[in-house]
Amino acid sequence: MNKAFEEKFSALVDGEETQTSDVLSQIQHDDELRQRWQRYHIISDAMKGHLDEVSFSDISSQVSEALDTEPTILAPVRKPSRIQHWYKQAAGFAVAATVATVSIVTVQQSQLANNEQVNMVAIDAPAVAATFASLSDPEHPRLDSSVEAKLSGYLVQHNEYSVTAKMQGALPYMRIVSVTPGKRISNISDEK
Amino acid sequence: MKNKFWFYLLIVLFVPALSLASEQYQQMQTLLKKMHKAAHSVNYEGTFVYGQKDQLSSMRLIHSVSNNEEKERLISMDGSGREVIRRGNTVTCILPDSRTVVVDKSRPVTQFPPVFPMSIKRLETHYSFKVIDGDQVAGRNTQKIMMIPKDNMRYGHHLWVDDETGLLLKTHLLNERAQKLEQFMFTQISFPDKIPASWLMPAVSGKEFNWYEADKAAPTDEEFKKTSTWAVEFLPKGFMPDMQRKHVMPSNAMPIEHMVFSDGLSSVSVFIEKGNNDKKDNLMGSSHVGAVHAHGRKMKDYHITVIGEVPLATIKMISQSVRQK
Repeated sequence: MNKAFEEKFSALVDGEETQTSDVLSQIQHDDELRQRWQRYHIISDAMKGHLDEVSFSDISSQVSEALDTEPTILAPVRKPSRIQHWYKQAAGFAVAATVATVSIVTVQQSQLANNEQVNMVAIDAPAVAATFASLSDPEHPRLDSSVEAKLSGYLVQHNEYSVTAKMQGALPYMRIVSVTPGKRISNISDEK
Repeated sequence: MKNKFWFYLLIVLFVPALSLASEQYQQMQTLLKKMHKAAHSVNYEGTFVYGQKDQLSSMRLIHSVSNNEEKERLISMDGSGREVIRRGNTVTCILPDSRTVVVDKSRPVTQFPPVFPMSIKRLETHYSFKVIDGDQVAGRNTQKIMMIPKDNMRYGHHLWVDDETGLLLKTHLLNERAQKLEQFMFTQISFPDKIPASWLMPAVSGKEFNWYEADKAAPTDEEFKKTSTWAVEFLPKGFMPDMQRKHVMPSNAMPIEHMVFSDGLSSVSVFIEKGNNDKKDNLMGSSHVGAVHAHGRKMKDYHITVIGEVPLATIKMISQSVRQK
């Protein structure tokens, strides 16, 4: 992968406006790039302090839960074949890689917390509709109530036309109805 | 001779695998269709809990069908008094905590019961499925459907479906690390023959609240498709355009453009609003409520907002791909 592409890719993850068509088209077609796109967002979220703390005891249970819910291989192979052996090894590596990624993320987050850049602050604000939490830009750390109101309106229209809403009726509106009135919690970054 | 051996081996290996797979496929299709039908045709009243992160809230849901018309009412039981009522072609959100009532248009009802919205064939490319006996939910036996995504551009869905009626009783939405992002579960449910009209009436009159109502005269989807100049150039694998329309929001006179994309299960909406760049109610950057993510950005004279129950990376990819034709 060349340097120019790398730069464009990073700029895109950071949400900068660039000539993005070629990068997006490659992300669309390349599995490895897509994994990276996802990974970079997790890391970038963690650096901004938006991920929940993930404890190590959690990880093992999540991994085993993930393996439990893995689809069963349907071909009725009785004896463990060479391929199956290889598959198991590969799965093992994949799990190890997942754990490694998660631990990096956790470390980065606790470092950030120590550097007092991220504070959880409860603020009084008029509850508008759905309580949207801000996830991004340090310069826009929390959502204004007018932004929330507009997003809630969009959420109503999204609900009306989404597949899940057609399957489940009014259920998706639970995201609008469920709000602790008065207080909401947002991430506020001191960094400017 | 050798070729023949491989040929027979393939048959021996794959035929049982295929029939097993198609059995699961059939089972899931039947169950999802049953669930869809029940959601629109069964009278019920129940209490459920909804959880996201460390927040838990309790709500009551009432659904009635009479004369081919559905009426639904969702009420908060946490003291905020919030309600959403769906009926005919309107959705009413009553928000006593902000002294606001918002009346918006619902999706048009074209036929009853509505058409089954999922394409299982399409779904199969991006999720693997499993149907097993589920645990009891609200004292009722269930079947559990697991839809596990094959990549990380979408979330996993676990659904618990009532054996007897087909109604959805519990769900889990899982991220790529199989962590629960959101869950909902009925704790009590009953199926009355008739739902009293009073159960579907709002608890407050809302006379003293601020009302925002949607304009009813907007072009239809078909008329609009011809005139729209917007498109999404690069969609994440499996996502396809579902719908494109123009809509006038209750709180804003300017019509917005609304496009919906889905992979057959997860949906993403793109909203495009013109000439509103300096208004402070535009979302800039990313946000979420439960498993729903949103991203907003400026593009020349327009503001683009993308929203859907998919990972933020998927939302951002779609947002960056919005182009004017």
